[in-house]
Amino acid sequence: MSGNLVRILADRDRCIGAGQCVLSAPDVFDQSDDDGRVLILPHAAAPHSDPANTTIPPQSKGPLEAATPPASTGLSDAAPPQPKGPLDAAASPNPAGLLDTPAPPVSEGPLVDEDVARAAVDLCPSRALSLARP
Amino acid sequence: MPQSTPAPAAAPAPETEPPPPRFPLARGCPFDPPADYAALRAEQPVTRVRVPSGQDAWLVTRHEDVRRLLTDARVSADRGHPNLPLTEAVTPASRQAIAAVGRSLIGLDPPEHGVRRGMLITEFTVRRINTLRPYIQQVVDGLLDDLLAGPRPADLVAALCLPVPSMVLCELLGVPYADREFFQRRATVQVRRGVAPEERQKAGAELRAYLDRLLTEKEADPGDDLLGRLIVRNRAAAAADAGEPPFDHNLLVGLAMLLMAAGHESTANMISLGVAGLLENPDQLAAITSDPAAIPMAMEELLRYFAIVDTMPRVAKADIELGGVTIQAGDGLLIGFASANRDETVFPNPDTLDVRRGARHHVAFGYGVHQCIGQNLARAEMEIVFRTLFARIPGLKLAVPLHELSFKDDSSVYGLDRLPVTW
Repeated sequence: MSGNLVRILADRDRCIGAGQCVLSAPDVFDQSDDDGRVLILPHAAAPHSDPANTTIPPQSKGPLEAATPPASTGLSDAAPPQPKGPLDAAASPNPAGLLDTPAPPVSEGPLVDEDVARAAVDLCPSRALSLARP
Repeated sequence: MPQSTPAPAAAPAPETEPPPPRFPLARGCPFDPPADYAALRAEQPVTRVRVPSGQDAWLVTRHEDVRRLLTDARVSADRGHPNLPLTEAVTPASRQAIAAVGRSLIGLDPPEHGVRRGMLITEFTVRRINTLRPYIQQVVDGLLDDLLAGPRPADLVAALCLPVPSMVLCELLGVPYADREFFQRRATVQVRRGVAPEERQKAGAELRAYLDRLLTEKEADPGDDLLGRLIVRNRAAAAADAGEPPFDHNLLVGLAMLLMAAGHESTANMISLGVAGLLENPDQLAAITSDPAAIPMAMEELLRYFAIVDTMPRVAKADIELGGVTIQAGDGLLIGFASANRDETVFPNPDTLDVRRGARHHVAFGYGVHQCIGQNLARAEMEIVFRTLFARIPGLKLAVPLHELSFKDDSSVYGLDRLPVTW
């Protein structure tokens, strides 16, 4: 547990239903019975969370990098403010990768522990998960 | 070997250059991938090799590069591409068969792949697979009853490793009980090495003909099983789009064959290698028998350590700079799963089997949009087998020395032909 809290963004169009996130953090993720794709549980465990933080309006979220190996990660406060949404394509070492996906629908979850979130983002085989600092 | 000026994909390097090493590279310890992978990861992480299908291809050995390429839209899974590197000797007929198997799912690229996979993923969610656990337990209990009642030593591959996934596949696909003996006999012959190739082909053809008939019956009267529900969803998708269904009849048959092929021998190999690995490492075995809650993560370590799929073939659709080389459009790629799982920069002491390692980020099931759709079924089968086998037969041991076991060195899926055990 890092003690830091982040939000997880899930791109359900990209999700392939492998279930790695559910195995990694069953308190945070589920899979829809209707389409098998990722769901972020509305009351995911958010230890030490300040209830005030959960009401931060979405437009104040800064997107962060996604799906980078743990050794090279680090929340970047320098990320330029942008509308909510994952920035993984722009932050990817190969920008051609997966850019064929049009602007994705994004679902948002509650605040979760950063270590838990990073592990899930790293495991996701379809790069459907990304992080945003509240 | 040429690093900066690769030869065209389909043609071997000019004769003036030393030819690249032949793939597959030799294994030393039968539990480990080829020892040369470690040096390649350090010095030539993307390197030329010559495969049995006659081409030169790029072998990719680092964990980071493997995951990067498998999430790169410039990399194609097209099983029909002439430059697709195959690690077993091929004939034009077998290349056609490989291309045909790919057309239902695994050889597709986005966006077509996503449409087909999307039709299936509700069948393989963690929750759906958990509903199969009581059936898997019943299968394992029955097979162990038979094993314990039979002679010693016994071949665990025939008694347990192959029948568990085969019986579970019958249940999953909705094969009627009356047909299961017919189905399983052929399923086993089809994957059994040492059986004459013609006999294996005959079993495969009979299996395909059977699944063709089964799907025709289910198209008339879809039951509440994977194939029945898929038929219903397939029609609903066609109706919603006012177009063709994602799967036509032949693609459904191909998909059923694919699920058979992918879910049978692979799981059997993981069970046989895992049992051998734990029996050879009694401290590791004790760690899971003394703490059954440790079994799920121990399975992840067995998957990492044994990585039964050494490499996965791909083809570059555009030039890609990686690991100090330029992979050119059309070049074949061998994505090194087993090497990535022993990458020392990701897994400390990678050649040590450590069931308490707690690492899920192996690539035994692949990565990217093609990551194994049946991975949670494989996990459930493995967990139940390993927990039950060692609880029921705590005195289980190898009946022959490890070096006498017959490993599948020349097979695209690594494993054991037989596992003689006693107790």
